[in-house]
Amino acid sequence: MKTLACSLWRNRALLLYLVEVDLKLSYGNKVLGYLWSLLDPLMLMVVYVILVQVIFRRGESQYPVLLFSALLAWRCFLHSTQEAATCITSKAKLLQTVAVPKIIFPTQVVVSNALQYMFGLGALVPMLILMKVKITPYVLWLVPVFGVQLVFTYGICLVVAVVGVYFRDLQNILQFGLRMWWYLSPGLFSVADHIPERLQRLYMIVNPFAPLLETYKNILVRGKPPSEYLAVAAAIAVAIMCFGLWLFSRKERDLAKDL
Amino acid sequence: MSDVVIRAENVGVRFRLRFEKRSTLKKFLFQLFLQGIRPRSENREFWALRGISFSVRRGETLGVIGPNGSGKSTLLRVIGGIYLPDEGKVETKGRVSMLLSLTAGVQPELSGRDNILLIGMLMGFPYKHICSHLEEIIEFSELGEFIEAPVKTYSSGMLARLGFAIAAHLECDILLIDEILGVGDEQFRAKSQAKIRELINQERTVILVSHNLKAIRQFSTSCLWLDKGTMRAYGDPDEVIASYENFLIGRK
Repeated sequence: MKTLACSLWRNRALLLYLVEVDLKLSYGNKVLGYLWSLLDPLMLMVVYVILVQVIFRRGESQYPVLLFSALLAWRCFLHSTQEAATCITSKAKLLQTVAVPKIIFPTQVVVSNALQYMFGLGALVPMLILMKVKITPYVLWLVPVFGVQLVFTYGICLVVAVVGVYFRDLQNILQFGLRMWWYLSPGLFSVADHIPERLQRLYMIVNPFAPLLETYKNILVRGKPPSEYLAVAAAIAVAIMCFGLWLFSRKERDLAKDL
Repeated sequence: MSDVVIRAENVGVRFRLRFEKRSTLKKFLFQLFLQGIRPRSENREFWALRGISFSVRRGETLGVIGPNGSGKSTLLRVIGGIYLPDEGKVETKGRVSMLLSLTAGVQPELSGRDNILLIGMLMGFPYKHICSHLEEIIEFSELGEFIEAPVKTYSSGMLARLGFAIAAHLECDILLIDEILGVGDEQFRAKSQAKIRELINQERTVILVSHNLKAIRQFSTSCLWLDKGTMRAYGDPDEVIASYENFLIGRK
């Protein structure tokens, strides 16, 4: 694990350059590209809002902005995981000609998506103002909460990147699994209203994205502090990341051969 | 001796031969649940290299010969740090680089210029070092104004020229060459071959893999004959090549 951290540090210039290239590719280096990237989650939000509020006539007040604050964070995790599944296999040829520490690639995926989340906040802030949400000091919790999410994401991405080398159908299974995970997480609904009270405790412990998404909604929109379940999610996140690092350090030497 | 820059001691590289290159997760989980055991893999192991020992001093050129599938490219990859030896050890001093037409890492959407930086950094060169060689690389590649165009618009010849120019101009201490082959059209092929010869002749440590025995004889200061992953002979190039030639005649 120590060697992984060392090789990351030694190659930090490469890591940053890869992130830069990735952002350049997805934004086309222009303001228009940035606006375009905001449109994508906004459209999805509009679809959900029409579905829930117009068709089913459900949802609390401020539903769109509650949904969006969760959706934005979820998409950061979703895209990181999906990209991580192919981040090593797609570079098979490269990795057989150049000796690059492979940990760079899942790391780059997570860093790029984290930056894109921060850019996405650029759409959330005007929405908060537009919906007349009262901003409280609790928004400062965003930094530690997103930190927990990143640690969790990084762990999952490391695992997925290694498993993706050995099982080529991982991507399909992931796509399905992640969609299920989203519907099982409190993005479209809220825990207090839709989960039976006696199950809430279990639910918040088993699914780390339950406390995470609830916390985003609480601190950004509802003006409430995070619940104690965030600490559980943080513990799970650290455990997953340690597992991911352990798996990666065990397998890294074989990856080039097994591609 | 202090000026030994590559030392290989009893190096072995093991591969797992899988009949199905990558199995599916579905199948794996299915077997796991149904049989309650870890699916027995039909993996067979084989040693692509075993018991390889040699040392190369600064400025020397080691020629590596042997029939197809004897482990020559694997040996280069071990020295290049792409594969780690499963047995024994390899020590190298200084920056090692493979001289190939490096087109595996290109980003089709980026310009040729950006790709030079990207590939250079993936090879482990500092940003500044690449920048200082940028113009040289562009000139050698003969891409002219197309260097600003996205690489996806390049012809395969243009791409190969770019890849070669990058590999040949970034300075490293140990150069690994898999066959002295030029790329591109007739004229560029001659130019790139001349460049490789120039690189070998410089005060640089080179490992040269080739089927061209004349080239090996011309450049090498020592020669290694690999056969099925083991060392058949190692030493003076003339002697090793002579016995390799006899072996080839005997096989016919």
